[in-house]
Amino acid sequence: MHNTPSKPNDREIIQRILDGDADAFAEILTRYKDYVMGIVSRHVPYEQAEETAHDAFIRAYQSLATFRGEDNLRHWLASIAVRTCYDFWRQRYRLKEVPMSSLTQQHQEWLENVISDTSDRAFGEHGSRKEAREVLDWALAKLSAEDRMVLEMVYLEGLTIRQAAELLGWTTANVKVRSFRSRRKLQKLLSGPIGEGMIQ
Amino acid sequence: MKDNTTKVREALRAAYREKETDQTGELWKTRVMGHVRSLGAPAAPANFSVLFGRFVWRAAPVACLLIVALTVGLVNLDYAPEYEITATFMADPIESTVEQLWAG
Repeated sequence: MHNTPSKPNDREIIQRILDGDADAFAEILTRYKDYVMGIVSRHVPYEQAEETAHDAFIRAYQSLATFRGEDNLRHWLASIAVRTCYDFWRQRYRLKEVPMSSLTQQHQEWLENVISDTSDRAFGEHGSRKEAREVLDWALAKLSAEDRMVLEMVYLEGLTIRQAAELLGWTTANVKVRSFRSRRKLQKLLSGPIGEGMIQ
Repeated sequence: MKDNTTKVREALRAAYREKETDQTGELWKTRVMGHVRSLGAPAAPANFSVLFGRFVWRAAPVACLLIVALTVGLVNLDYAPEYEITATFMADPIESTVEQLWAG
């Protein structure tokens, strides 16, 4: 009777890598590439996602020795992915590479439609999804890298302050303050095109 | 009925979730593994004893130089503590008075 070799767990693979078997990292890539790509794709532009995920895995590889056995590799990689995205935006803002487009008449109409709608219709019925995404990108581009990350994680993804703080490696107080401020900024930004007081 | 903030928030959340998720292919994986191999084995974290050993050996030459400098300085100052103590004792007027009283 043959015993089929069981798949090595994450800790065993990490130990092999630390012992000098760099090729074993391919298994980590296979297991978690979609998960990391999912996180990265939400935070950075589509065309930059592959490169940012690449950077995140290289960072993970270089920091593998600091990975503690009792940690969850999935969560550890998520944290590295989020911090890589944050660094991506910090660099972008520093180099002033964030496009500052302005809202068109169509975007303003979309916003007005959303606000004036008295029914509980789904998002898709409010018109073009493309315009919704463009309004969101426009507003996010006006925020700092820190505010942007916190707003995306807490306001848009619905993570708790504690979860966002753990992933970003910041204190909960810092995330709480940034979350409040970034939300206020977003409301102010969106109130501009459709008139003050429309979004409170 | 929902307020304006909730409506906008829900619409923006939906737009955020609708963002395309890229799928990585084999070429991407090959590129990452090529990069990984070029880096070699990841560096092991230095433990306390290693860090302490490193610090001691780094500080050793400085400590030796300091000892030599202090020795040279003391020799040049001609400092001898026992002479200082004797001189202080001999110059003490109270002790002298006591000696005189006994003698008297």
